[in-house]
Amino acid sequence: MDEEIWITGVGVGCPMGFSLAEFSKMLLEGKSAVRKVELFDITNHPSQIAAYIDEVPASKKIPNETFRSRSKAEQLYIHCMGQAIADADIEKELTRENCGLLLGTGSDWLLSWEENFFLGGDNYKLPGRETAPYFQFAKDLYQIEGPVLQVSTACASANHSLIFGANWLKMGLVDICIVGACSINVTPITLASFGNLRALSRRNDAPEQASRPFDKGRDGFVLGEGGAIFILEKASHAKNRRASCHGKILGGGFSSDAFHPVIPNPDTSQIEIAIKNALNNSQTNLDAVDYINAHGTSTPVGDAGEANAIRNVFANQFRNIPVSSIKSMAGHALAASSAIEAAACLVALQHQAIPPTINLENLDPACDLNHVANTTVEKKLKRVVSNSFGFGGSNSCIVLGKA
Amino acid sequence: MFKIVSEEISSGTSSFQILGFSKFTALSGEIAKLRTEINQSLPNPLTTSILKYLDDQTVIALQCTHEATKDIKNLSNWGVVVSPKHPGRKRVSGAFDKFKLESAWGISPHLVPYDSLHSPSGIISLAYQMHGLNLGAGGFAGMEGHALLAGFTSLENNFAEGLILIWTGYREEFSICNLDSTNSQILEGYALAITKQKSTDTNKRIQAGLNISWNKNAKNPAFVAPLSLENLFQIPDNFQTDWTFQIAINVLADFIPASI
Repeated sequence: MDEEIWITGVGVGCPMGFSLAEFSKMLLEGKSAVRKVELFDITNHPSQIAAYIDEVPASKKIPNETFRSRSKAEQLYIHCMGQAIADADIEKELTRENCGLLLGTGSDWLLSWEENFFLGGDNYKLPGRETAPYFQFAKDLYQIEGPVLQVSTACASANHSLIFGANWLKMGLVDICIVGACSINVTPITLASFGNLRALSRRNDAPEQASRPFDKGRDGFVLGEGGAIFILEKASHAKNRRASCHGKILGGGFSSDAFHPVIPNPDTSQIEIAIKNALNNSQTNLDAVDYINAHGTSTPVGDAGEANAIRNVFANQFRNIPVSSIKSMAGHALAASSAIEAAACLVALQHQAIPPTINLENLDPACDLNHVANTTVEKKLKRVVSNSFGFGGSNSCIVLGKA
Repeated sequence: MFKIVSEEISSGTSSFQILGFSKFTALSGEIAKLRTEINQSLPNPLTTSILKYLDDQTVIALQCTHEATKDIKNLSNWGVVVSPKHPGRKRVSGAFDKFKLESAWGISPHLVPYDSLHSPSGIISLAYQMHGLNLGAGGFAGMEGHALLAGFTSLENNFAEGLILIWTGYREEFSICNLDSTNSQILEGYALAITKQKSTDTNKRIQAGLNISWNKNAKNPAFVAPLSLENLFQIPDNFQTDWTFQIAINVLADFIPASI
């Protein structure tokens, strides 16, 4: 039997808080972080709301002037990685070659071109002007010298990083693995592009009520941003250095719809395969799942499809398994969403309490599940499942366990 | 070009069978024609509304997949990993120019679905009806090794029955200030079809394999060339010997092609 993979450090930075404690509080209180966008001119934007970060807290690792000279995405990596490393008390181990870095991403170069464009630059037109990936500055700052992998499955990216990272440890490729994702998304071009795709909620006059997964009145997702970084170790490695455990990665599964670049397949069999693969991979019986953290973006098609897949996989068990989507509070952080949701699962496991889907006032019958609606529910939790799906038809599912 | 690295320092090895490979070069001015032609040979032809938005590198990736998989009968449980080099530049350039004129109204809704790191692999999974995982890896010049690392991790953990690994990029990046010059830029793509399992569904199997080893005490291989699209193109088409790659954990966070 494979050795357990422990999560020994967590760093969080998102509109719901800049530490696991802050994040936990807002999550379990069921508070929305969605508000009117005030970062730039939103005239002509179909969707004018988001859950966004005003300013990333400064890092003690580098002078404030240096920190502020970096882009917000780089600052977020420095913050989350630094917090996770400090939480795991593992910085002295990091110059060792056997610490790997495995991160989910969207497309850093597009954002860097956009940042430069709005500063009056023309890097996007000229060769060789691409900046380094956003994780690079934090990687160098913490002198991480092991193997590095940046993967993208759009909104499922971070789940892939967590599951791959756990497997790097099992394979003996590394002894410590830093995984997760950070993503700054609330920018003029991204908000406009998703808005014009008609993917975003247009409930501009009621931001806090706009993200309403599984509700009849849902009209699209709300753009979010942020990140979460985790330190993974084998249990024996963690025990040897007396590290504490936030939770365990028990397994994961993937599949592809092969249906459309954007639209989820109404035939949900591939989502079901991803969930079943994760349950098999983690040796989890259907009746052992205590909570499902849904992808639940608040789009009409996506939520109904996910609900259908959950009903099909869990059959007559589905009414026993509570389901919620924290995107109702945190918005959709795209490539980083499943990292933030993994952090939410750890909060649930630690507090033995399930964060709610807020704004779930009028359940869409097509989304019939055992929903945790509007208020946190206390429950004994040992194993939880987190779904994430992305453009390009990527489906992923991770199973996390109590420490 | 490549350095032979001793096997004794390895702490792990994985071996894969190469079932197909392809390399393809085209001028950017040829992409429009290729876009239409390749669609006719896809198992699941793309609709016009999808086809017309594909980034040039995705078109090249489709062409490479076609060649690399022609002897593989069933790709249903296969996955695909693509490592493009900062795709989407042409469309983003146009988007920024339109934003100046029209603000949010001028921004295409197709930027994210078609120009992101995940985009080429998603399109290939759709065109070839592959239901294994599909993902983008790396994305920047110099990060081509990420595709191999992602593929190796996926197959080693049985996340797919087989994988198409694809690298794409412009031979040289170019200025798009002068749009006329974009028609003569050279696009390149390289693909490998690999599997852990012994396959019986191909008659023209390439005999060489792909070996990946890793170690925690590698000697300093700083002078060894890293995996790159340029180096892949230098591998002879009629290769018969195994490819061996080594992950030099303590020196470079990347793959070192140790021998071919």
